Amino acid sequence: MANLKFLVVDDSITMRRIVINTLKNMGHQQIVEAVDGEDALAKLQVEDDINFIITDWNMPNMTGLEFVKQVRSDDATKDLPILMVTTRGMKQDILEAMQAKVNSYIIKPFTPQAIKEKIEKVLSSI
Amino acid sequence: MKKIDVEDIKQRVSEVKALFVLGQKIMPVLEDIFQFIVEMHPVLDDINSSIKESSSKMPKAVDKIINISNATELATSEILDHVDEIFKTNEKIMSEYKDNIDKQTQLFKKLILDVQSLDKNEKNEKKIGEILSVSKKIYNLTLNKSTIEEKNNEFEKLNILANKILMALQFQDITSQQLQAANYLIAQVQNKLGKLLQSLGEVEVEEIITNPQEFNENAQYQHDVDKQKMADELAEKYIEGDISDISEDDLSDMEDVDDIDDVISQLENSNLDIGSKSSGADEENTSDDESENKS
Repeated sequence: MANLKFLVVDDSITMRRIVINTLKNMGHQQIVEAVDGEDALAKLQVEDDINFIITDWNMPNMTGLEFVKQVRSDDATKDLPILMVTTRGMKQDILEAMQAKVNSYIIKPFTPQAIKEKIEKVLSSI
Repeated sequence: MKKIDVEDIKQRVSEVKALFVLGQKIMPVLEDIFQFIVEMHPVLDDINSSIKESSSKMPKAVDKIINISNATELATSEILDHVDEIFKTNEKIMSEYKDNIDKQTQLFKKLILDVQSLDKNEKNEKKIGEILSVSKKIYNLTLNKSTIEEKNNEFEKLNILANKILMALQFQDITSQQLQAANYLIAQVQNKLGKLLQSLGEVEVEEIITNPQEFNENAQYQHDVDKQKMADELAEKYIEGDISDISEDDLSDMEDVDDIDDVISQLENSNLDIGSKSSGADEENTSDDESENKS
């Protein structure tokens, strides 16, 4: 698990730092950042050894949901585990995300333990 | 000579008379309406001025809200820098403490061995006893298991507290979205007022462009364990394909029954594979659908 390379996608620099800090405290050092869905797709093209995606939903240019759909529609990236981390907590949102084929879903604000458990659970299920 | 139809004339006179009677009844109403319009005119002028003034102030309100958001982001970034320092310093102190403990343990072992190797005559025995007694006291202060464990717990506590600060800083992202939602509303009002003023030929008002996809208007800073639990249960049910267990009660926060029926229909008709390697053919079909939707 320590050799994973993460792609963290969020338009909020605060949230990116918080997620990255949490990942580093878990022992993960290989982390790539993106500021929105478009940027994230570009990063996936360049960094071909990304193992895990953590993405926000509401972002400019391309939302996290649209980004997830793009990832799932590309043969090169369709099996990447994806954790959605978002303020959206309505049941409709969760179902929409599951239909887009995210592996797991966390509602902000989250605890470091919650993110750790979700990552471990996703990795054990694939 | 044309025959005069008296009845026809009488009829027409009656009609004209009726018109005059009607006119007399309407006149006071028309006078009241004219009076109302005359009185409303200055009020409408005031409203027009207020709309222009408010319309000119709204971009300032939008800017102020953006400034608030930027200021909180800057302050949060500074706090994050300090929290990073706390983590690094704590880790450094922990590492140094561990090294010190290791060194002290080695030195103690050497001390005990050296003391034990001294000649045990009557003169030395008392000194040896004193040295061992002092050594034991030092050991109890710094090297015993519970002391070390206590110190490690304190380091861990610092880490936990720093993490709590980190997590609380999520407020910045959440409040930023709430501010964006407020800005969006102001922009909508501004744009509508602008169109009204433009239609009255008054001023040219620049439309404020906002994107509601960039924020969640329902974002809340709430430590709601039940909400996450609900999300987990719903996701689990979806992954297991256990659609029949998603009752109307589960979907009760949706807007109306039609939405619920649509979602249930969609779920029942959808392929139920989630980014795992286990499903082969189904994933092919699903990705074909997605390509179609993308185009």
